[in-house]
Amino acid sequence: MEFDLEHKNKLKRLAGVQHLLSGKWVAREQLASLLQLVIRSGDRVCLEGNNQKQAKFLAQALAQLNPEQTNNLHIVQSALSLPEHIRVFEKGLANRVDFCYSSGQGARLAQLAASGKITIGGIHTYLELFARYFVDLTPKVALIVAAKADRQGNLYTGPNTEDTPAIVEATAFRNGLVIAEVYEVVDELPRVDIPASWVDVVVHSPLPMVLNPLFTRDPAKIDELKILMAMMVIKGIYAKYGVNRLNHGIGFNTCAIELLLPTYAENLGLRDKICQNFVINPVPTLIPAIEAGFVKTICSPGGEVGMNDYVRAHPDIFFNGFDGSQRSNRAFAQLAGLYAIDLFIGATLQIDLHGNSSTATLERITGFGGAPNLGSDVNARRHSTPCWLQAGQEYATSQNKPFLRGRKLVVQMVDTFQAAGVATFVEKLDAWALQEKMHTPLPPIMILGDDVTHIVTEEGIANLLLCRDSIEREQAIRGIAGYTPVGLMRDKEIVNQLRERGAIQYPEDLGISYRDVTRDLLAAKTIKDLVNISGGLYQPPSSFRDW
Amino acid sequence: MEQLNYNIASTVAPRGVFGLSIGVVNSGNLEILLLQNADNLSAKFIIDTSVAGYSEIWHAVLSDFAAKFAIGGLEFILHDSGATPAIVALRLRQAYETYLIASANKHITNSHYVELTPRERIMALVDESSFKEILPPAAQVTSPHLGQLDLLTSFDDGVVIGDAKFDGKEIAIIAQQANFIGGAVGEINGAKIAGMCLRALERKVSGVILLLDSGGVRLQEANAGEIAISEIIRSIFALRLNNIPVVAVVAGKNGAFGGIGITAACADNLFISEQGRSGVSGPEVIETVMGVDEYDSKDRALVWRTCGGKHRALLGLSEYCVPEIDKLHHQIKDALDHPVTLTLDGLRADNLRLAQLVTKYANYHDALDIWHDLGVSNPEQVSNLSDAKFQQLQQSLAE
Repeated sequence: MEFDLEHKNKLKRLAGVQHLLSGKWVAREQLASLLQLVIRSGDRVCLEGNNQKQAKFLAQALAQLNPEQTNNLHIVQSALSLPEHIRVFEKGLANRVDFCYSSGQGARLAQLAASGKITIGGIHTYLELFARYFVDLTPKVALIVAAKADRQGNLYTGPNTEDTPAIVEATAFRNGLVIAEVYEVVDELPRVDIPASWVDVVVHSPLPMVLNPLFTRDPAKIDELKILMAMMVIKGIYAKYGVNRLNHGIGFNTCAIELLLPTYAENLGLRDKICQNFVINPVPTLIPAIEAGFVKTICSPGGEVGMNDYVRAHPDIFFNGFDGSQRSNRAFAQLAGLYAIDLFIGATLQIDLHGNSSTATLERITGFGGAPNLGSDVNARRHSTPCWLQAGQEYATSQNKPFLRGRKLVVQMVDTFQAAGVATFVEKLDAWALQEKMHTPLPPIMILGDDVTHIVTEEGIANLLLCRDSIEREQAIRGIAGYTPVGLMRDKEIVNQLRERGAIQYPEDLGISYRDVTRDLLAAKTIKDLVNISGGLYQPPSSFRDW
Repeated sequence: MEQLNYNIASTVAPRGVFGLSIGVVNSGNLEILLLQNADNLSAKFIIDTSVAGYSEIWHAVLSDFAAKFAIGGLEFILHDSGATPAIVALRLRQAYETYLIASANKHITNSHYVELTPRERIMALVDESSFKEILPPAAQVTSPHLGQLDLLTSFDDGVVIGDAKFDGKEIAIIAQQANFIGGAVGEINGAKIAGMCLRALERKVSGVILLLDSGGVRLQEANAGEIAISEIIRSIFALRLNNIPVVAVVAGKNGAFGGIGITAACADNLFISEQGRSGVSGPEVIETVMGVDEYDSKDRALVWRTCGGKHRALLGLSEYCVPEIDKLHHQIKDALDHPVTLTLDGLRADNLRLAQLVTKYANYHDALDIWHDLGVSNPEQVSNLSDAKFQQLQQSLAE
């Protein structure tokens, strides 16, 4: 047996393109020729597509290859978000994909899957895909992206480091080739995020670095119902359990909570008692809570457009390099979200009577991203916090089981209706119809009902930990489902009993008066307010400006 | 469109104030007017909704409301533009609370002009309890045209008018509702504004305040709207000729465009905030006609530096204002205390100045170049300057 064939293969491929290289550098015009030589049919190729940054120049070059010479590629990547990501399948270069999320390309992906042009190996969470890079999905070639490189090929990935370290480590250390596109070439990097010895080829991209402000929400669009829900969450969940280590979703609902911390939560005396350690992108709506001294640390899986200067000026809060700029790492942040937080809270499009939730809609394959890891209880957790223990105690008591472990709080925060006539609460999720259509082994459920501990609507809070059986659980959900068909079918007697036991709490049970529910409570009412509170350090993108 | 009618039993309501309205007719929202119902033991609901087919849910929402609160003897008129049941329930509760605790002139504590409704903007600016609304929601003088086009009307047709006192002086005040059809002017809406100006002329008040927040004329009743605009402009000049100062404030999210942009420019004093914008054709219209290469209406930084308050102020076409109630109050008071006399020579001088601006900057392609020419050393920084820093810049340019 020979045990260095893959290794020799890598060296041979590199030797075959030496004539195109100057050091580690390839000229832009030679990139397609290099890829044609270095990528072989049947290879597993990681095309870096993150939540935010994209290896777009490399994606364009890959999509230009001749499918008669290069085909049957197996693409592994976090997010399918560019048209080029789909073109490699349409052209017949690749026919298999393992991924996490398909922002923007979900409809085309579904069409290609239905027509048989693409085989979906698996739809993962980020951590699962990164883990499989180290087990059975190691890339032969990784096409990655960095902000800057020096002449030797050291890379600076900066605030948007995101998935790069996980991809490069798996590829470079098991006979794979790492090819990087960079936006800028400098003599001296601010810091080295990826050492040159892990990188085989570098190309200077002619494209501008484009990032979408995925985590920016305009406070002007937060209505009273979201403020009411935020008040319930702060008083009925954060204060009750003393939640300090947490992750927020990216919708307007959780933004409302963030903007109520310096006002409503401060008035309740909750500073230094809740919301001190976040796992979250640098969301602009957290600025008032940071400035008010509420938030102590933030671990980010990525960056956010316009937040770089603000993050740089707050090295005690964020993870910044010695050069001063932010470093983000999705793998570690997701790991933190899985094991080190006591609460996840997010919104969804549909919830069924078991508490399962899904953002899947027919005609689209959207995937999972990171939410299922953040929003799940972990049986493997062993360290305790008062919050985790309190939730575990509630559950053990209601189930009449021995108290052996705590629970992560997994909260869904939703309006009962998405729009007039579109109910959030349904008897059956659309995910089931999608499963049938796409022939997947399981329906695409984002957060499983088993993991959900609380559901919050504008009607009230359902505490599923206190429900003793599936009937109570169903009625607790119906009891806060308002005027949706699911809510109208509630059994009033059981709902009243649940309310007496605290398994359902309405705003009046929490001492919340509707009269206090006004936008006056928002610590920032506009994007401009956020800029002012940041002392001018936050620089929102043009699409969010009204000045 | 669908009309629904319900009579639902409830206990007798406590005493309160009839005729007040809350909410606004805007996508996902609704407005409610609360009146008296002859029968003390039931509540009457008349609902015009843009989303048909949900009568069972309406009945459930209203029944719960009637069971939870004592609303016998009350009549609720709802104009619903696709609000979810949760929003409907919230607005009903707010309408009832307003009926119970509010007076027609409530004390406004929020100082954030942009956050306030037009009625609140007026009450926050004028002397406490002095506002006497004319054709209030309860009068229900609404557009005769929108209904024929199967569109919802609004109780006040999107504009609030009335007499008030400002720092002790008798004034007339007008505030546009930005969220009802973009604050646009139709037949009734325009007649209310023009009529209010004529009334002010007749009563020889000490000033007229226009709180503008509008995209211009309502497309659905454009002829009536255009005629109304010309009547408004004529009445503004009549006021000015009679030495009654006219002050316009543009500090809302819609700015002042189309006919209302012209109206704004006719006032003695025009205050525009950073967020406020003014012009004739709006950004989307210019893009549609001239193409995206000429003017990208989605490039918001470009839009604001072309028609925003800072640009208008630097060109000397408006006075800069900060959209906070006490600061606005101060500026308006100053304007009313120092009325300008309208003269033919003055108008000619104004026109000459405008003509010079047009000639001078005809070939400039970006406001940044104009600002540079005006002596601003860092034009790129102007958009990011705080109100205070911008006012310092204006000061230094003046010197």
